[in-house]
Amino acid sequence: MDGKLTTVTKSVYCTNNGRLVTKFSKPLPYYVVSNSKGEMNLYKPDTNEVLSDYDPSFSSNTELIMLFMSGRIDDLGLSSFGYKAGSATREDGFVKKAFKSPDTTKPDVEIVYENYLPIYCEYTAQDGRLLSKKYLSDYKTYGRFILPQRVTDITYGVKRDSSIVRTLYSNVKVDVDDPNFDFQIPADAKPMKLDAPAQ
Amino acid sequence: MKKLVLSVIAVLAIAFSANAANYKVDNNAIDSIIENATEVVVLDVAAPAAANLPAFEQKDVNATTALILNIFLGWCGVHRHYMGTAPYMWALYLFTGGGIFGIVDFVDFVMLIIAMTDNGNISKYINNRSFFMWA
Repeated sequence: MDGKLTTVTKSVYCTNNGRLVTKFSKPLPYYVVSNSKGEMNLYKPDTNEVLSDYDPSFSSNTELIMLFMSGRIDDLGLSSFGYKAGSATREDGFVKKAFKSPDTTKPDVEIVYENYLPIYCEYTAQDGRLLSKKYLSDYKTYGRFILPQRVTDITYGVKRDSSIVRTLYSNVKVDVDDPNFDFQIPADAKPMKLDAPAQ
Repeated sequence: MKKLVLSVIAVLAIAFSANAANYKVDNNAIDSIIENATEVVVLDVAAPAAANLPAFEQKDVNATTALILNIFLGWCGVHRHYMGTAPYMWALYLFTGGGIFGIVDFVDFVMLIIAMTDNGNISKYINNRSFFMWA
């Protein structure tokens, strides 16, 4: 098998007031500052440009780490996307819950729990085609919350080809001081030029 | 109370088959696949022409190519850059898709399929600068 790999590195700074600072360092330096309401500012430090936008899907509450920090792991935030929980079933020590969205363009989701922790999510198109699987593993406790150290997403394409996203959470620190928690976009940042070339 | 998490994401597009009956993945196999892969820069994958032009003519954009890019690299919005969009779009896809479920690129997939059944007409998605290209 000869695959192509790309790496994204980001540092995530979460506070319990819902403010989330995401600092991308690879492939390009960017900051995204968001809050629980969905207000989002994207800042490009090399050009000192900022883009402000609002949408519920930008809410810091949709970040996996925030979900685990706040203990909202029952539906992994699906309710914020309009999903409704269906029936729950037991199978070999696992509990399975189905979630459906009234929007038929959105996939059906099934979450499997082991010892009350989500370990597996499956996304199925309305025509029954399997779209993606997510595995959450290596749970570890940090102070008052628990977090999977490893999340693996496998998205199915054509024939046997798939895309794998492996997310490793490392260097997790709790109750620490870091200036990035209070990162502020400079007041003199210019509005981002939307007709600029992609970079 | 403040909390800090540093995350590292490694992403791989490769042939792989998983056991559908299992709720746990073989992490060693995943690590092995990733270690043996060739690293590329994600924005290069987005097709250099697409990544460096502010706008495209509809004739330059192929619906099938957009769909394939969506399947494999939809998590970072590469299909959007291929079709022409705002320069920051990849960061928004990474920000939202990396956190929860990446539902946005799933919906993009469905909408591209629907558009392709309409004679491959994806004109409304070309040079579309909205985060939700279908909205």
